[in-house]
Amino acid sequence: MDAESRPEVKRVRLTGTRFEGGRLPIDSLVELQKYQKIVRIAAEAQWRQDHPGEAVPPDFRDSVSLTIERIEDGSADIFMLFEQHQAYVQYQAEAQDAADAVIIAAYSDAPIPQLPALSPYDDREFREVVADFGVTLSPDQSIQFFADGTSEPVSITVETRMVAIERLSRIEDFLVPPNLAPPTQGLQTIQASLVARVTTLYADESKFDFVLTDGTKSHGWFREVPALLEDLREVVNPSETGPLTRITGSLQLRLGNIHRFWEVSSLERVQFDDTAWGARLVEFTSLLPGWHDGEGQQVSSVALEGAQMFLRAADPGQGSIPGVFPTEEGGVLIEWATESLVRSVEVLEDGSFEMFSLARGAREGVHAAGNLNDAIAFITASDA
Amino acid sequence: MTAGSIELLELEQLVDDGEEVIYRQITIHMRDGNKIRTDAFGPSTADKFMPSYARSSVTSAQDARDWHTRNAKSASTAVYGVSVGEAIASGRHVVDDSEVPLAAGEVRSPGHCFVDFRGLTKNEVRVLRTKLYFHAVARDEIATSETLEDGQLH
Repeated sequence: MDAESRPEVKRVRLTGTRFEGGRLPIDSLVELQKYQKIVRIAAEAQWRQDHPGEAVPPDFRDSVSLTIERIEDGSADIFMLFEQHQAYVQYQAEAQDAADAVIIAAYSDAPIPQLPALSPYDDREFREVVADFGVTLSPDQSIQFFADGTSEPVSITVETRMVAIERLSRIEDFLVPPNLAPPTQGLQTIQASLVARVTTLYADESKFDFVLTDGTKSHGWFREVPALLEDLREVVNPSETGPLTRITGSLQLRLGNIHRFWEVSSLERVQFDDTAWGARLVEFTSLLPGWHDGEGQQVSSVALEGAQMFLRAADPGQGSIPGVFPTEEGGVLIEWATESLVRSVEVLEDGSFEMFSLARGAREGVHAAGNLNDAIAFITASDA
Repeated sequence: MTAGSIELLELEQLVDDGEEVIYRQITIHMRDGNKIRTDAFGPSTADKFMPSYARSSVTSAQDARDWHTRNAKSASTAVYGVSVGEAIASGRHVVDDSEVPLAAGEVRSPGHCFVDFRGLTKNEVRVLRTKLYFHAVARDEIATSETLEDGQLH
């Protein structure tokens, strides 16, 4: 692979007579420092959001440090690498992606992306530093900025920079109080499982993208369990019909919505029957803790499995179709309800079963508890 | 479980008009397509055995639905109702708690009342909510319209 197309290599080309022959004047180094600062702001903002109330670690800044790998002839064609600090590599990678996206957008017609991790204070500082990128250029010089090694660069010149500054400035900036603290609220980490389709795998970054059955897209890391790479290779599939996989680990929520898996601890392939109730059980796999007006546990794996086995055996396709519902406790309620008779089987979160029936007009109901076979027998008997 | 076992807290009042209908809001998690779960008429964990209904003598079904959609965490998708007499026949009374002071940050719908599930066992809760379900579905859904967004016109 060419150096230019290695994703970890950052390429910036300075053009103009003073850069010919691969010379890099000392005062031009400030431009590279500016780029480094842009990435650092994004990385530190992400860290603060992920660790509310914690100080940024002392070695964090060093982890987002660029070093010049080489300068090629012809112009000052500079190839930079991040110094390797594995502890924070994910921040470095995400921050660089975010910073590059804003720089490219500022110098093209693309809308400038919002970076949700940035507080109003960080956002203003970030835009100011991006606007400052290229300040040392004279009229005959340019910076060719490459988002990656293969795409066309955007050109930063005295003229294009004027346009970019305008694009980067926002009227809201004048309304932001200067002493606004960075946000520390809104991010919550819980131990949870989700059922999703793994759509893309980035083996080098120990990262993957996934999409939930309701269409929600997110990503996760498996840095602490590298053995999961092989499991992920077996299930990764960009199509909508890829296999469903239960992903378990430290799930981060932002304002109650799925943000990402900070660390994945296990993966398990799951399958639901191609029936109406199978589709219904798939829906339950996207429920997060608090799904029921702030209450409501996630539906447990054993409850989903128990419900699937029961519904197969009860063969609802042959008779009336039951309602299938998640319960607040993390189980599944299967209910045949008419105006004159209600029969139900509740699969509890621990996989056990509770059965109930009541006829309209009856004073008392029939209650029972047991296992899968007991539940099937209960329903079969009341069918008879 | 008898309607005779009544224990009210301070400022709670029994609703004693057996003909009065009380409205129950049906949210998305209470239904599977057009099937309504029977426990929609009983308490959730947050209800603490006091599932919320709204009195038809104080509010309309539409207003109750609109209030719920605008103030509760889940929008109302439909309104069902039972009468006070049906609740009593099912074994429990209806309590109007509109005069009970609210905790800080709490809100309460106009005409708020509840079917009193307090003190019931799990099995008794199942029976009572199912009896309420029978009455509600026999009455059928009470006609209302989807709540309009602020500024949206009919």
